[in-house]
Amino acid sequence: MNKLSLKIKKTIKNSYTGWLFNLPLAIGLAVFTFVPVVISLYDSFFQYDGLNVRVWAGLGNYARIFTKDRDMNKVVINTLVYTAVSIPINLVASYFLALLVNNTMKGVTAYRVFYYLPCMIPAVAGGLLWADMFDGTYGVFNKILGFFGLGPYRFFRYEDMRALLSVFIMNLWGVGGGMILWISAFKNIGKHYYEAAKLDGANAWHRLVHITVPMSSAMIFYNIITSVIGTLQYNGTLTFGSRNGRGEENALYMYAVKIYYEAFERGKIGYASALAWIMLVVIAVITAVMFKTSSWVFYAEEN
Amino acid sequence: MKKLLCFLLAVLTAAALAGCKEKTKDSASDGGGEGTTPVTVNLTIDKNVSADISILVPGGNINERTMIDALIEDFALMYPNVKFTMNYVTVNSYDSEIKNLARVNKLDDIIWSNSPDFYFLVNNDLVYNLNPYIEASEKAGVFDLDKDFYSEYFDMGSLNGNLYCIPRSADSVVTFINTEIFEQAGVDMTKIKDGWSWDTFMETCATIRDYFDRNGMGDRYVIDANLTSWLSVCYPMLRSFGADVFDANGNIAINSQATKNCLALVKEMVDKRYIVDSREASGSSFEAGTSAMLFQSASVSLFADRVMLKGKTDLVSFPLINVNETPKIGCGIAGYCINKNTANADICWAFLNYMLSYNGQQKMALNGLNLASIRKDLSDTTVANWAKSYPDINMSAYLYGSEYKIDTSFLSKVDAGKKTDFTTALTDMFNSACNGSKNSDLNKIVNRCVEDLEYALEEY
Repeated sequence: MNKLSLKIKKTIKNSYTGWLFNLPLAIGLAVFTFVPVVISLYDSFFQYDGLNVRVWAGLGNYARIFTKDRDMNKVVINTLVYTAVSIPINLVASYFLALLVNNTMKGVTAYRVFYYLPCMIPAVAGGLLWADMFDGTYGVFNKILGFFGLGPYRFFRYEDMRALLSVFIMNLWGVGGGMILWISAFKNIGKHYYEAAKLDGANAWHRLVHITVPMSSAMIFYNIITSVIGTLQYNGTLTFGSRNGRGEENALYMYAVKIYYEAFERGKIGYASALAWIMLVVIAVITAVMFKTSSWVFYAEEN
Repeated sequence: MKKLLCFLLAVLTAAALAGCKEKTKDSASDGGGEGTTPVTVNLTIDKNVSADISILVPGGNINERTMIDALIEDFALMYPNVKFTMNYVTVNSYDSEIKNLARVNKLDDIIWSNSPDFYFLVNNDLVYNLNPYIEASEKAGVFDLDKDFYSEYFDMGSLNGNLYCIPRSADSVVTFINTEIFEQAGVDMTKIKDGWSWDTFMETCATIRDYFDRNGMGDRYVIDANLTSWLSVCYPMLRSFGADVFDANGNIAINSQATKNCLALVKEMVDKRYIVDSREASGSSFEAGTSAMLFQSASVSLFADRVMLKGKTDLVSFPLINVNETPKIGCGIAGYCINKNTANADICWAFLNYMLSYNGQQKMALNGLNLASIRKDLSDTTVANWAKSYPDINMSAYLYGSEYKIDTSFLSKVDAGKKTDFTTALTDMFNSACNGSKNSDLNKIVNRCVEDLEYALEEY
């Protein structure tokens, strides 16, 4: 026992400066993340309106998600389609944009800044801006299309998958964010690989497929992981979608919007907490699977 | 130990599964109760009283802030030691923000609300039943509610006969008209007057439609009717036909022939291209001067002062639908409630009483409030500040037809959390009636609405 306490004392003595520096972050994480997460788990077992009513519901909230909630099919399909389509589009678009601006051409920095600028606009402002540009009567897109004898189109206000298609188009506006990450990955690839490949007669396509892509696979993996986590939690439609972000005929109704709607429009904090926990579990499982199957990722340090 | 663990797990599982039992409500709840009344009511406050009062107002509405600031300025002359703080609430997240403030006991002394939102305050027992103050004021001769005010607006701030929300103005749906389009279309303006009927309205629509089509404006629509997004228009229409959301027993009663007749009227307006088909990407807009009429309750200044509408705007009452001899006009209130946990209820009442006074109403009108006053002695539009800036506009349209006025009081019968679902179910029904690919089967549209309402009533 004495040995153990001496060991603890020694550890604290040796590392207290580090703990002190970490303390603000640790307190912040505990108060603003860990505690709310635990409270939400507790709430998920109650019928709770956030103020007065708190009735034990057991697994009732969880059971409702899978059995009685008539919106869930639409919500899950929308979220999966959005995730499955949006991630590849954005990754590929930002990857090729990064390839385009990853050169020493004069003025290329201006292009990088130009493409990154939209990412500096807050998401809410961006959403409102796009809602305005896609407006059926006044929107600039319909004005331009009208000039060519096309449209008008309803964009976000379609009742079918075309509403989601409009979101995919809007999301291309933010590919500059991914571009920056890709460029940083490209900069870490040694020039000697390309020089050697050129000497061996490899053309640009071969250099891309056999050097750039494999050597940036760690960044590809990182981007896929963060994109999947972020996209499954997408709630941007709250800023531009009709019917409180759900869209016409629930065409834009996503899982995170559902959580928001249940908590803050219907006042069902308990049910919203259960929905959030299901999402947490799903994201954790997907992330774990991705890590388990990540043998294709190349880490230069390990090599 | 193993047995104990098994027992505990069994108990936990049973408790958890017990919560899975379905809970449904067949009918609407009563909503609210008797409410909390102030323990004592004192109308004579010492002029030197000291207090700190906080007021919660909608942050996004600059007019609300300036008019309350003006009242505070005047109130300070009467009670110099009463200090006010103004805090802000976002109207779109009203319930959740109020909930958060109440949970940490930081809810303001005086709380802005409106006719559907105050049900939330009452359901959660957050505000005072102000009947004792009204009774005491009438007894003391401060005012006579029925004689001095349009008392129907006080009814809209009441639940089960208890007044919770003091209206600061009278909001009523009127018809905004573009006089330039009316004249060019050759509309007989003698027929366009307060109390005009729905038949006259449809005739006017036909004249304007014909004018648009003859002059290459086929893409324009006659009226921006606000049918698919605003209950203050579509609910009075339903009621005019004799339809309602609930019957007297609180059961859903929307599936009726009266509802279908109302939707058939909407369909007719779409078929005749008076209003836009909801499948269309673009419509025409009253604000931009491309449609001839608009159903709206907002302040006239929001439209009449626009460049596109300057000198071309006039008002007329909402057209009366006489098919069932029960025409209705949509209206509502915005006003103020008193927090039941305030330590200064009497001072809060004194402030609201000043808001109701002749001087208070006139002061607010000079500082951003262009809606009709709730005082009868301010109905003369040549004298009242809320109206006299627009001498060429028929401002009395806002005041027309007290006996027809109706708000969305059916929402008081459902829990606050169901308000959005109910609103959406009804506006979706009207949206479908405006949809050319759906409105051929009105039964299906109404059945869908019933399903939505029943789903909204589920308890979980």
